[in-house]
Amino acid sequence: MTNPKTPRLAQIACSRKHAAKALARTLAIQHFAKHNALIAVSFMNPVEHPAYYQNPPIIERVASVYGDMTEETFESLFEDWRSMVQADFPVYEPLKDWQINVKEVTEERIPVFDSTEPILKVTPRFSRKSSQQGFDWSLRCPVGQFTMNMHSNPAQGGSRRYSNLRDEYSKWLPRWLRHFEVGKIRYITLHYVNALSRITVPDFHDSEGNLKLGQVITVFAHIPGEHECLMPPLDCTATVRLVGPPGATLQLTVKDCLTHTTGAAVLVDFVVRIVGEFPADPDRIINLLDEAHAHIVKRFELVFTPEAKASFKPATS
Amino acid sequence: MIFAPTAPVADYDRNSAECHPHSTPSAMVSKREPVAPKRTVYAFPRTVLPVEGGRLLLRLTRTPRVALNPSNGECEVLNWDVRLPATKAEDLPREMARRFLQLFSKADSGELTEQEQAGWLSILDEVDFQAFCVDRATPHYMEGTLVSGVPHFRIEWHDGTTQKISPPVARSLSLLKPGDEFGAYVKLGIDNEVLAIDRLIFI
Repeated sequence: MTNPKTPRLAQIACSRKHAAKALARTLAIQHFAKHNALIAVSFMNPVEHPAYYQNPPIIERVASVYGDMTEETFESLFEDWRSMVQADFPVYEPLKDWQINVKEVTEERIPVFDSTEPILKVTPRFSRKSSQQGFDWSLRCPVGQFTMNMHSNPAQGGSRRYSNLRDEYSKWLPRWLRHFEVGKIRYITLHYVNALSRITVPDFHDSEGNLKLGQVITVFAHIPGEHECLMPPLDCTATVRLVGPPGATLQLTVKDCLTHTTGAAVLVDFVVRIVGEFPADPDRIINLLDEAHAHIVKRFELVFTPEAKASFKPATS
Repeated sequence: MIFAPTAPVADYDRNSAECHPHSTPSAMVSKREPVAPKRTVYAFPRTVLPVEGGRLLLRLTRTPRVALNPSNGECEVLNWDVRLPATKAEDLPREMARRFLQLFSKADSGELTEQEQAGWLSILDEVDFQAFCVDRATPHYMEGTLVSGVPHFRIEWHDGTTQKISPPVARSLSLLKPGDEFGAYVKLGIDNEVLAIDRLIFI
């Protein structure tokens, strides 16, 4: 049930006052861009000069690799892996998922929902801080998967960048591949979670605490027709096949997220997935992650408005 | 921009991010009669349980079933008599391996009570006990003569039987020449297949 006190996700402000403010901001951005050649170059050619913001709304980056591994190999080697990992990631808090499949079946032309084959899934997870302490870095390693999560706190400057995740991943990936004798890699994913909240985009909230979503992102915020505002549930996903590398796709999701810490917020997720059959070569995998990162950077530039990007404090290095 | 409805669906796992609250799909179901909360049985998809830190594996012949009791928040592995709070479900494999080893030890020394015997039998229905015994068996000291070497190793054992040795195991015999007599600790598998040859000596 929606709490009536919950701030609504306001679409672009419709009052004249708000429109004037928005226009003034846009002009300011255009002025800023004109007088900042580096930003303009980075926008035009993000691969050679990737855009960098001091305060992006990114709250988490997740890199994953999925490879061939038998359960027997995993179980035989897990305890040694655990002692190796816990030197750096001391907190062991496995994830428990009690999964229920809900199927719609038709019986005598009456649709009913039936739950069959519920599954208990346990995912080993190590982290530097416990979930109660607010995580930080964590590492998940169920059979055939190696995932590293790096959190950022935009409220405290959000100084972490892809290079931090890359460095740490480059350190642990070869260990995982070697330890579990991984043969082939089936796919990799790189996932960025951006949170649009009063903490990350304070300038884009009105006096009632509504998020002016249409001024922050260029997609999924503009719904044709006459209405007052967007409101929960908001859940939009699009998946595109990328031009390269082969097997690469990008999924963009804009979804509402109401939490105690952020209040009314919208999560903007970018996930690049590259499917193929790759050798278990750490350098090759890191290169694929770099390519995935370049795609996310390009999309970030296009999905966020110039006004929003200016608020993320563009930097030159 | 085209929309390709026939393209294969990409199976994204967005739950791998920590900051995504895990959400469970919900559905409104109408029943003719009121339904009391009842326990739900979950499949716990595992094929092996690590014993002795993973050096020894207990192979399962059936997917374990875990019953979750909503009234006391406890989960139970059916047929294993293993119960834990649902919040500790990650320890189920460990507790199952412990339960197996406890009953195995008692069965080995003939100390099973009548109730434990029934429990032991139901566990035996769910595991590959023969493979466990083979994996667990200690190597035997055996003597033999190398009949032929690279690439097809054959040994004549002290009882006169001859046996072909598979390439990875035969690596231990690489120093021997045909006709050499040797002694070694030999680990045997099902149907007396040689799984490992260690601590080789000339005799």
